[in-house]
Amino acid sequence: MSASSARKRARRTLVGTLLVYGLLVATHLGEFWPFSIYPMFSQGGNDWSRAVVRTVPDTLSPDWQTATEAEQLPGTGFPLTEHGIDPIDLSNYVSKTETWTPARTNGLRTMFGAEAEQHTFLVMRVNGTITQHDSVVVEYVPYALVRDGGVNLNPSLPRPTADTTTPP
Amino acid sequence: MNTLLSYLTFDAVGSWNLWRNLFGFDEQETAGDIVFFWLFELFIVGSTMYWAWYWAQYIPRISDIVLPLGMANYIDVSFMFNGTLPYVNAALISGLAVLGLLRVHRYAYMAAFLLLHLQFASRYVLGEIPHSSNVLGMAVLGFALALIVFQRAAHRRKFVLGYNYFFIGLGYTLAGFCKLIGTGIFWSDGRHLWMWIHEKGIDAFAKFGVLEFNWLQEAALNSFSVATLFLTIGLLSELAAVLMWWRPLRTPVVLAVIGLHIGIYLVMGIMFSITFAILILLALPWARWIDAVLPDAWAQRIRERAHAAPPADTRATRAPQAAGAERA
Repeated sequence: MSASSARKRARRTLVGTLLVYGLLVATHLGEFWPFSIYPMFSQGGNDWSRAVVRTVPDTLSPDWQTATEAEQLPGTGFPLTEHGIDPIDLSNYVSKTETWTPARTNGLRTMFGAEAEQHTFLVMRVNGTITQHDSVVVEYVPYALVRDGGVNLNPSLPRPTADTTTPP
Repeated sequence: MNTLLSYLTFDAVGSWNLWRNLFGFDEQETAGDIVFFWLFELFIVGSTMYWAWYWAQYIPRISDIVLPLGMANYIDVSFMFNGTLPYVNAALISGLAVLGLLRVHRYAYMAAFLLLHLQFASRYVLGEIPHSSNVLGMAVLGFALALIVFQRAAHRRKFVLGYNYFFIGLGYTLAGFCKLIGTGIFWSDGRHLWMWIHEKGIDAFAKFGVLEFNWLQEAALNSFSVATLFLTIGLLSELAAVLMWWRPLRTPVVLAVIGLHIGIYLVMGIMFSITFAILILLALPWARWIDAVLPDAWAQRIRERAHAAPPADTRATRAPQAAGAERA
């Protein structure tokens, strides 16, 4: 194969890949691995939501009150990465769950694996906003107490109604 | 050392034709080009195996699908959530990658790529949309297409590298445009960086159990101008990335993208290690450095070896064309 025909093949292959790339990202909200429009951090100034986990005493009966300083949080910080849990997964799991069905609640327990047999965890959603005075405010909202025996959810979280209940 | 440093200059091709700049099929390969390609391919194969096994370890922790990605939109990937299938898939991916590396079958890399997609789609169903492995995925796809489309090893080598420069440059520039479309020209507003620093600070808090900011983060948080300057430099680096398609601009542009990643790491604590490593491989003139240190006799043997045997899988089915083929 000559250099010019190689160039033609390369051009066709590249353009073909580009078409598939465009088609897949256009029909899948910009993401179809490994194709992507790379939209990360494209929305500046938006509120954000993450999650942190605290190791708390087994006897803790949470008051489910929101805190605004890390120093006010109960228990001690639980380093997720050291225990093989992806913090971004946990954040998304907590923030993108609209209704806490039994399946979704069990999924939270599954993420902690064998760790939940040894510790009691308080999973907290963390919300960040910027005020009109240009200061960033961070709020820590307790979401779930994860124990070996099960998961206690913050009473204010949306649960399935009789109409929306699905088997786990 | 001066000789080596002298290669750290613009690599001019004498033309602005895009296809010549990307592929240069009519240019003579040096032993350094061949050795560098072997090392690059070995790195991609090793990284593919690493990610396949890394993802396999996490998949058994998943029991529910929050956000399906890729092929998970069409098939229920929950069958992968049992204890063994992710490991079986990782073993298949590893085996196929080795078959591709050894040129045993021309579709081996494509099969590895598709199974790697399944592994990714099984791992990332919990809401996270990561971009840390996209550049690796595109590189594997580049190797897969090169083996299918081209017969001559030299053409495969040149295609793979040009393909990578093309899609890496495109990806970063798309990211820049997304910012301009998503937020507008005021994306660089320093207050946006304040929000992201706090967000990433919470991520670090979740990862390590400790909440603290480094000196660069403190500098950005204490000064609107500094924060705005950081974002402006980052945005310009992304928008300019497409210029790496042209060889005279390639080294400075890829170095600027590497600088962007170092900045992102220091300010936001995010490091795409595999992307960073691929950029380091593609930015610096490794082939010229290898040529400079390689004894002539070795260089001769490498060129002979690279042009000796035809690819194994093409011998039976493409005997006439394979007569002039080389070992990639």
